Amino acid sequence: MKIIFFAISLMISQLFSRENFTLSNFGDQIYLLNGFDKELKIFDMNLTLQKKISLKNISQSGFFDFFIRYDPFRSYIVDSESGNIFLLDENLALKKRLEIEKSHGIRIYRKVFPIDYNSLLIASYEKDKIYTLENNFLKERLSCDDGFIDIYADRNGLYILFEKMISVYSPEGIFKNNIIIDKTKNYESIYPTISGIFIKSPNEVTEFSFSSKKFKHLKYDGSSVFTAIDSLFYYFSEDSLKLKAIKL
Amino acid sequence: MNKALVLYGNGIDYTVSYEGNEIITHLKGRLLHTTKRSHHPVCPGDFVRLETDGKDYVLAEVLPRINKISRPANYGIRKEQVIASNIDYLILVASVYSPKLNTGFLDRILAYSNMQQIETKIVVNKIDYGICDEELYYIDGYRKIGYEVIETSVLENINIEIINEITKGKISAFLGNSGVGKSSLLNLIDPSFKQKVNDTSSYSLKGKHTTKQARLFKLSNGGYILDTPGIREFGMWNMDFEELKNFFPEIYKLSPECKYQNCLHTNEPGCAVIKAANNGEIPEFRYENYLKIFQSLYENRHLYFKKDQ
Repeated sequence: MKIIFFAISLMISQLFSRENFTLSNFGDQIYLLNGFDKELKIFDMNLTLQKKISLKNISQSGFFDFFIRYDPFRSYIVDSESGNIFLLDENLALKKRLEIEKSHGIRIYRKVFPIDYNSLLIASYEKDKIYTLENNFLKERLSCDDGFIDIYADRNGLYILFEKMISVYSPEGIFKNNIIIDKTKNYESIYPTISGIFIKSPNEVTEFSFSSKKFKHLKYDGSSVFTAIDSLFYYFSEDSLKLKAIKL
Repeated sequence: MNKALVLYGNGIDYTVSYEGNEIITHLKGRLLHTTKRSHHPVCPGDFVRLETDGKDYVLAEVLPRINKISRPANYGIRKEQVIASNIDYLILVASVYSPKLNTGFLDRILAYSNMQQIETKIVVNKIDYGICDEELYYIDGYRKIGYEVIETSVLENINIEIINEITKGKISAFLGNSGVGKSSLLNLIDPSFKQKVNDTSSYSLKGKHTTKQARLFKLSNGGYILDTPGIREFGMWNMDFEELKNFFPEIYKLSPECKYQNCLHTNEPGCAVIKAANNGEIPEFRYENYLKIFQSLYENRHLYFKKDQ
């Protein structure tokens, strides 16, 4: 009986250690993924709900960690525990299943980033290696001595959040520069935009401006789930279960 | 008169700019005997009179200096090492990271440059690393006092054109700790600078060049730049601890409001400066640095304070 309780408590702790909600955006649309319920809500920039899509048919089992749209025709959903990445079509229907753990023998980080038409940037579960996956060929690109906290990649480059700095790489993987951050802030996630980088710490978001090179701090009541479009910072309040926006 | 500008030298031989050419001159024996109080009697930036026998040139006389930058020599106490002279602009280079911005170092040089009446500009380099709140507080503090602070990045070529404009046709001295990026900044202003440095340098460290000796270089923009060695400790040569208050502009401005005319702003009652530091009217770090420099000047008064005779 004790063993069953232990197993259940272990399963629950694993379940709740994962982010239930994730936010991302594409164009002027904001995507709120409820990973546990496998539901995707699409909002416009005024926070009006446009569409609600069930993703249960993509995978019956597991939990979705992350959703990202690359272009109108390709989106990706990640189930890091099972080591699968799902490629979705323009109607957000399953197009292809990429079984990374099974095919390549690596556990994956919960976020993946499409960096080209058929190219994905993937990180290891241990947060010490970064790979590219092109046409099912996995190639190690970077190895970090100190594990990173979070990463983000887009067409402009790769941003790796460490405890004391953000390392910036070009889209080709060439090191550009380091940005030193205040380690006492306990930053937990990163999101770059055209004008700068947002870094999230408990109850505060910091914006690093690419032009002025300065940091701007903003307190808010949010969770670690956020995204940004231009100077608008969107976050999901887990207290009110509502999507909110702040103009920075 | 054969007037020339000293570019660099080693205490005996000096390279000077004379009628558009760079020539090597030797220090006249008589000048060597005037160095009891000074280590290196001739320095980059000095205008000198040359004597010639038609073949060789001898550096015969150092013309009066408008200003100078000096520090106590590393050896032989009470000796002054003049680093540069006749400077139009002192460009004080600091960086936001590796090494971090050191206001103690900046304030010592700012006080000294005020004493020598050298117009000083602060360059905060490596801003590609990001300017954290603490550094922003320092930068804003200096701007509030009236100093021009230029934020630069060699890596991202930010505000290098401002440095180029400042140095155009002027003699400028770059001063800063090792590693702040002085040489890299200069390279960006004049891409041939690195080659010029390598051509004249006798020092190298596993292929990586580091400035070891003060030198004046002619830039492609018509100016002269003094690249100085990385300095860890900047001595306040020739400054009296009682005079220090005059070289902190924000403190000097408030001095007439103090209860006592001879107030040194350390612990005197009715001191307007202490009051201003407490209420944030003057940046706290500046006042703290004032006290530190004051203490160091007081303790080393026998070493630093030696008025020109």
